[in-house]
Amino acid sequence: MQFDSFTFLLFFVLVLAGAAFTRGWGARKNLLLVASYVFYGAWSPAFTLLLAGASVIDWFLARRIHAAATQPQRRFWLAASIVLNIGTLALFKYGPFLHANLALALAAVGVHIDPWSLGLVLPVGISFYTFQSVSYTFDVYRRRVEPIHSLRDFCLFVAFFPQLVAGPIVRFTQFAPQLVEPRAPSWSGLAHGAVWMVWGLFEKIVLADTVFAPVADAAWSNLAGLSSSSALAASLAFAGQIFCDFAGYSCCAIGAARCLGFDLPLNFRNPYAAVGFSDFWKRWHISLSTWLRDYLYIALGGNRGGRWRTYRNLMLTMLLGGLWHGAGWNFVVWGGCHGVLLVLERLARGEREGATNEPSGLSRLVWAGATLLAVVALWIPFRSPDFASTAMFLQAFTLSWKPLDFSAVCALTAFAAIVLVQWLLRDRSLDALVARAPMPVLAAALATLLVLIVLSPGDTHAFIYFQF
Amino acid sequence: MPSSTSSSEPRALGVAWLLAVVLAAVVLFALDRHGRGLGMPAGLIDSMQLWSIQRDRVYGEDPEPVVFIGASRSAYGIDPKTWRSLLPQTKPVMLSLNGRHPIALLRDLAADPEFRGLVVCDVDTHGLLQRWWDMQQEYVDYYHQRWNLNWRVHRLALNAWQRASVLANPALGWKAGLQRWVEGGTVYIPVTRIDSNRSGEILFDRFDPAASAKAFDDDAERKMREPRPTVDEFMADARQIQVWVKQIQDRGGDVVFFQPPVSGRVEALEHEYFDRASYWDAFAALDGIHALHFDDVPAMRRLETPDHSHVRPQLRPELTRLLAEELARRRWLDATTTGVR
Repeated sequence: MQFDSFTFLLFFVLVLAGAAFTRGWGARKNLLLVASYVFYGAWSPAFTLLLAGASVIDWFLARRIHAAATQPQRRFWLAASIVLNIGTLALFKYGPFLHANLALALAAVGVHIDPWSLGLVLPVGISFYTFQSVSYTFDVYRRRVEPIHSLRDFCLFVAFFPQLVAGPIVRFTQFAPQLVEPRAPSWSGLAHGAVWMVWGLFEKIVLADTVFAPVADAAWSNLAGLSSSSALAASLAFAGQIFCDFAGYSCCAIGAARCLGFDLPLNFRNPYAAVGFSDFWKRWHISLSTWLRDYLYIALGGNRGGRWRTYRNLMLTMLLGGLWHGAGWNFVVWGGCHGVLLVLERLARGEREGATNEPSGLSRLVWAGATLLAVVALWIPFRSPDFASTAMFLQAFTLSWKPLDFSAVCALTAFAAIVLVQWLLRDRSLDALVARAPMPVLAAALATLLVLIVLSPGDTHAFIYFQF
Repeated sequence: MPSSTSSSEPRALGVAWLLAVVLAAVVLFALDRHGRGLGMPAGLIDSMQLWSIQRDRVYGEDPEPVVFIGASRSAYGIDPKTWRSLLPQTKPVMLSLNGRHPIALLRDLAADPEFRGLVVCDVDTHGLLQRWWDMQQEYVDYYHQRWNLNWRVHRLALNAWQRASVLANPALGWKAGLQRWVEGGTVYIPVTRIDSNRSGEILFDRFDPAASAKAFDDDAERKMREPRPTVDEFMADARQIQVWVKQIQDRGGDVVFFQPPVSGRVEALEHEYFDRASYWDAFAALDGIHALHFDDVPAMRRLETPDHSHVRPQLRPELTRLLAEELARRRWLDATTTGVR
């Protein structure tokens, strides 16, 4: 079920009404769990079994980890959780990719294997809920949290529908307290949650689908017809599309959760106003980058083993972070390039250690511009289906400059506006803006968003991050 | 420090929402009236989701599904209501897609073990060539990969919205409006109308059919300038299509290939470019192939096609009746459905 569908609107009204009129916290959690599985089952009922299976197994394994008497036993149960979770993810998401690369490698030595024939469909959101679930067993292993007694509560933590299919990836420590203290829809929560949802729908429907997607899709579906101007417009359009698509989803998720009385963590904080690449990753898909930091980078040793080990750990983290986005070498290259940029940034800033690490004045603007330029450029291999397409796209920048059509100009203007707004509101949240806005201004702004959403009819597009 | 009217207070935010909803409703109502004043009708807009609702209906045996696949000539030429009244034991399903030859869908139905109905495939000789087979594949992929209950409910609600408001038409969207404001131009008023069963009609009173006829003629001329596939190449493609037909027949279904009436240079594409005896008739002579050409039904031949490619909307029932009668006469309909009323 997508947030930008009439089905979700109907579903959400029913869930809200159900949650408001259900007496008892346990009964309300039962309702939310059932609703979450209905939400997920709307894509494919069969995949609810996978979701339930993963939840039950991790709930059980976390208890085994906690009950284990020795460290090797604890490690064994943790390994079981990782193997089962990552194994399932690997089978569904990376199976064909791994098989194809294995076949290529073996073909080089004259061994031929049959093509991948399982034909598995990638369960929507599997990367998100797998990471969420496995972080729990990790935390229990590290003795950061006690295992949860209630299977129902754990299943609700994994499957809570606002964040189930595209995040934010919620930590158990963030959600567990919310499962203890009773909460229900309130007028205040509805009003604030609706602001987040309408803002998210505006980003998704008006900006991502109506302004940016047509320009990006047209360019990548006709690479041979690109000029340098259309390649520039398309690369900026995709940068706008992927931000508005994903940030829009996150805003809807946060808003839907708030309407139900829950809080989800912020996933984006004006990333195109980042000054430097480490700053970018503190602002882009925050729940994933902090997950990678806490469960991968630190597990690899973090910055504890000296400069070169730190660089190695950064590179490995970003390469695997790239692979998380999709089973393709283009994603690995994308992650790898971000890793290199993070290493280079550390090198460059390390030379100035002793002074301040944050650039200021003109150098701040130069850093911000360089960051934005590199981030936008790296979306090109991310969006391209293969390296040949990436090369073709990049080659278009050497061709002639042609006048842009209306859609491209519209996309460029919108992207410039997004960068400007993000720069001006760099460290402010939507809540802070809403709190400070005079009521008539807020009313006019909300009315404008509603009108623009209604006036953006067209094909409903899947959220890009559903496929990851 | 927030001002006394800032929205930090839940009450102020609630009032802001109330005002916003009222203001948005007023603006949208005014825009809807403005759009209607420009001549925009409220009506359904075809989509993969609307198509998929019909694709879901091709199953079952009683009533027997009769699935119309093809391009605009059947989409805007066949009237399912007339068909149903003539052959009440059947369930007409309209899957034809404007501007797309249908072989990808025929291939999909052949591969579907649950499909056992009759396919009426609107296609000309040109559309049988392999290079056009994948034109409807996008819809087939959407149906198998993304279509689900969620989108079905969404599309049914969208139908209600599109019937209720002209603002559901992208031509009245903010982006199209901004483009008109910047570049000039007028609102594009649709020249076709479609029902929820996906049958539709071309509204010839909303545009100049002569200009459209010239465009179709020019397109036919362009196609005729392309290298013509040899008969052997054509028959190789035809034999692959024959395999898919056989798959459907083996399950108890059948396929009828049908060329709806055309005129002008569009017709010449069939007569001058593709010698009928060497191409269409050779295809029709293949074992298990049922192929009907409008030229072989004098009454069908006489139907008027103002744009050289589509019949007048008033003639849709007539074309549908002639097709049903001819299929019955040739005994290409199931034994239980041959009693055309």
